[in-house]
Amino acid sequence: MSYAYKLRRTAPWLWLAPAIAIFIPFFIIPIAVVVRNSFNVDDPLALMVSDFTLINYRNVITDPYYYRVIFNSLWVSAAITLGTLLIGYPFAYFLVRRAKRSLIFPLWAIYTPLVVSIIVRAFGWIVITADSGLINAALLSVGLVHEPVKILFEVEGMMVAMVHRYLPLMVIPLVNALSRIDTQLYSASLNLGASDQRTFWKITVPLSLPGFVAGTQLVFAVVLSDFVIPSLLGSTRFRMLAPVVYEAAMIRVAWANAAALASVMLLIVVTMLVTSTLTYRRLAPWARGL
Amino acid sequence: MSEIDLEIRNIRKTFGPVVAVDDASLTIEKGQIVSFLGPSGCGKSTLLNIISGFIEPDAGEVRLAGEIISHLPPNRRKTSMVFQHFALFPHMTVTANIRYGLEAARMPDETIRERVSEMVSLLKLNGLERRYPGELSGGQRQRVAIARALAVRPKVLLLDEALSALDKNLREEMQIELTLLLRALDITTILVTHDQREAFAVSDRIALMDRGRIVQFGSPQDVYGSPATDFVFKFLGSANCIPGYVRSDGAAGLLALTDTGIRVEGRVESGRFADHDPVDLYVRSEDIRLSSVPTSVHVSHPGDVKLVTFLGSIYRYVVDFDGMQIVADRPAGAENFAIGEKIYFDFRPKDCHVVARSVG
Repeated sequence: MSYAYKLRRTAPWLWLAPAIAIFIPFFIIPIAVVVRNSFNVDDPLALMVSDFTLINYRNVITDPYYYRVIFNSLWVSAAITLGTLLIGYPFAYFLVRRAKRSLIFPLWAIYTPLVVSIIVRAFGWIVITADSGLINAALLSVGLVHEPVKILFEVEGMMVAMVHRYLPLMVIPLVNALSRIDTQLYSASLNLGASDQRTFWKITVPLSLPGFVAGTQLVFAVVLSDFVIPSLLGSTRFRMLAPVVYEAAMIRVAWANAAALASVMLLIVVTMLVTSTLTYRRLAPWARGL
Repeated sequence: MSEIDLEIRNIRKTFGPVVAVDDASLTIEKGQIVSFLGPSGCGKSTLLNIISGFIEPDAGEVRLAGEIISHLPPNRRKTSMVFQHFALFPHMTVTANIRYGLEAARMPDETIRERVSEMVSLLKLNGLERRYPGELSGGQRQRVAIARALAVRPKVLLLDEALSALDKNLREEMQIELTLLLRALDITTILVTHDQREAFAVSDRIALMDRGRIVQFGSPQDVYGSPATDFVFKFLGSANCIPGYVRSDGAAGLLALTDTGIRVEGRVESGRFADHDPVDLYVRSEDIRLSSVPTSVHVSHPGDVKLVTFLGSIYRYVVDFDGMQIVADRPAGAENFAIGEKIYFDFRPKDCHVVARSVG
């Protein structure tokens, strides 16, 4: 066997080496450790005792507090996904179908949340939404309200910030999917007597499904495990999963408990990804080749 | 005289400084198959898009069965287009693609089902009904595109380079099949193509287009046999160009004699050229015969056979004659010449086309 031939056979795997070098020690192994920890037992003296018990999961599932936290996170994830979709779809459609030549500016408007530090933006939100912030100052001076409206550290304010932050994750896959649609298909639809509306619902919407699925999966998964925005802008009366995991691990030093919570979070995300992908494959068998 | 189906009158369309279609007028009878033929950029696709309503003309009108349709949007015209790359809806099965236009017209479900099964059997799509376009071959996609376009029973079928996406063998097969189908359905059809063979194979009438103008409109025999302009002559078939000068000798009428020793009698009409005018003689390669002895046309020294190519039904000879390359296509089984042989040309005066040559 010649040297060149050998190289050609082994070379493809070499390209993966850098990724594998990072992925296995810094991603797969820590996750495995966390999952393993979730079967251990927290101990007030020895921190954590090695065991193989489901007690932590029983606590998480039966405790109404955690039950509430999981429900909160699921609810916010669904709401943010819907919110980014309702804002993102028309935006993406406009970008692709109407603003072809001047895509740069609106795209940058969408990209800024990705490039500006989340801390900077969180403080920006605080300046605007605090009791003495811009919005309340304006409302008070006009006389619309007599005392400041609570926005900051409330669920609503946090959700607005999340929609803003995660909009690009919805818009970018949608722009990608919409711009892959052959514009001749629109012509064909019109030519066959369909109205613009019919064309939109029968051609544009179904063909943007790949972008919809990718965007939805991204936003849902990321919101569900979001730590920074709930910590900085969220309410103490409406707890979300990631800050609760952090609290359990770092403040209460209940590692097994934190690990079980984190594993539940991971399980929810994985279940969501798998079921949505399977549903998508069933609904859109044509999209496999796209 | 058959009934007139589609009429376009004085259509003009410019894109910025470019005149895409320039004062085009045409009348197409019911059931005719017409080709818009020309090189790319000649305006044929623009004209087709004006008929289908995707492009609005700057001036002129389109009439369908007497009714002006040029102000209607594409979805309100009774024209159906088969697109160059078929534009099948990738997320719909073959059946759903064919149903699309019928559903848009809100036809009763029973009618739709009848129509679909009619189209499926007409275009031999049986067994493929539940496939997606991504699972079909090029030829099958083409059939689905035609079925989808015909299902809505259009008054005019428009084909935009619809065969050019196929392989050569399949294309020729589809040409025959399509022609038979369109004749059987008696549907008025316009085919846009840059392929002369395709236009000749399927059409009753050919509209030759050059730089936005329809330069000739007639049957394939007409446009090939009596080309209206130099462009038509050069575009149809492969033409050899032989430069020369006009010589008149009074007695035998007028004579075009090239400076290399080729003389063609009686080809130049009196008054068209003066003595010593520079001209180009155009002769199609299939009209050139070869001979080992001097001919009435070729009176000077012979040329050299440089290349002989066998193309199946013909031999193609490339002959070097005073630095000019002359191509002659001869049927296989006619006279045979080998590379390096000295040969003379012959062609009938009526087969050559004389064009003034601008000097300098």
